[in-house]
Amino acid sequence: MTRPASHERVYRLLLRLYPEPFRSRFGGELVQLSGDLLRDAREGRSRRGVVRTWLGLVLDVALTAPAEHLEQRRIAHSLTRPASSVSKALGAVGILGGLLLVAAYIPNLVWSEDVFVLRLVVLNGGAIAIAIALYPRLASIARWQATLATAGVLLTNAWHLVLIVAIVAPPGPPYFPDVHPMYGQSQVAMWLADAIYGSAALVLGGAAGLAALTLTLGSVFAILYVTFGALGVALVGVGWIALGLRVGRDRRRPAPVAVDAG
Amino acid sequence: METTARPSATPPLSRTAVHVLLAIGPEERHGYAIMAEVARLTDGAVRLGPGAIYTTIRRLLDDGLIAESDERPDPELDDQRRRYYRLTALGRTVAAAEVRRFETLVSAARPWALGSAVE
Repeated sequence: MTRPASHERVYRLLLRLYPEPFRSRFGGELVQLSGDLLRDAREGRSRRGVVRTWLGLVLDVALTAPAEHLEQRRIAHSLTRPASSVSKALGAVGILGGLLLVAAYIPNLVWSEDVFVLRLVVLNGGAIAIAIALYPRLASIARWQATLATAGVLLTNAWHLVLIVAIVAPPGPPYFPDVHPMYGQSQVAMWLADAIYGSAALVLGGAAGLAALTLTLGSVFAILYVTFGALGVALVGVGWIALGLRVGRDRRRPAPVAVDAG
Repeated sequence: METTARPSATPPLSRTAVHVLLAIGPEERHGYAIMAEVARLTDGAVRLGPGAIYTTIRRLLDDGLIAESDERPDPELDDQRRRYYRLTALGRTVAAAEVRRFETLVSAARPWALGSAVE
């Protein structure tokens, strides 16, 4: 009775080479099947001996585990999991924030005190919403980078939002917050956090990676306020819009195509 | 309403996936039975390990070509822990498309390949 237990212990160690989702889904069956093969080898029902069976099991794991890891990464990178309704709603807030940011920088269109405040409030809310919605996908690729980058976006955008509400919202004559020293600091911190977040989100690849790159470039330009400020802020808006579209989009892994036979 | 795969639009499966799909066939089979059936169908030329079997099963499940059977075998006849897999309607049509591909290939190659082998 000790042989199966020792076999199982060794084989379970080998199984650690597979990604966790695959292991938890099929680990029990893999252990059982490997046990069947070793039993056949011991009882002479297989042409292979015990040693050759073990070598075959090791080779089998060595050949299939890397491919399964690549498959898991491919799934995570291409955002193939369907978006939930919560994600879609969060993405929509992000798109709205980006649109208002871009619109506010089109000269003579909607530039007024009311819109100035509104666009910043929605922008901060949108950035926070997208960062929350994208976190599970980013974390499945690189947990620590995703956590730090997301925390940065949440904290700095929340800080900026609080200052906007505290400085501008009180009744009285219109007051642009740029003159407040703490507001300037919060802006730089927000652009910096957005740039870091965009860099971390590059790993999403494809269209989402391009959106992340736009966000990063826009944020860097926005920090260089004097030279590229307006262009940078507009790019940040475009970046958040594109990321919001990716968050809200429902993509599934392509499956074999079937047609109605009638 | 039954559906059938359009062969020209069906993504080609890997060789291992075709082996597993055809090994399951019209039956409900567990991993060990699939492995034994692949060896039998290929006259022992192809022997898949547990990892190859279950990474392929995972992919076929995700693509909707096979499904886990709800029924469990009689505990006196088989281990209750085993999971059984069967082809879905889509899996059957994809398997049929693969067989047609093989038939076309074999009928095209048979005259010269087997002819020259005999000579």
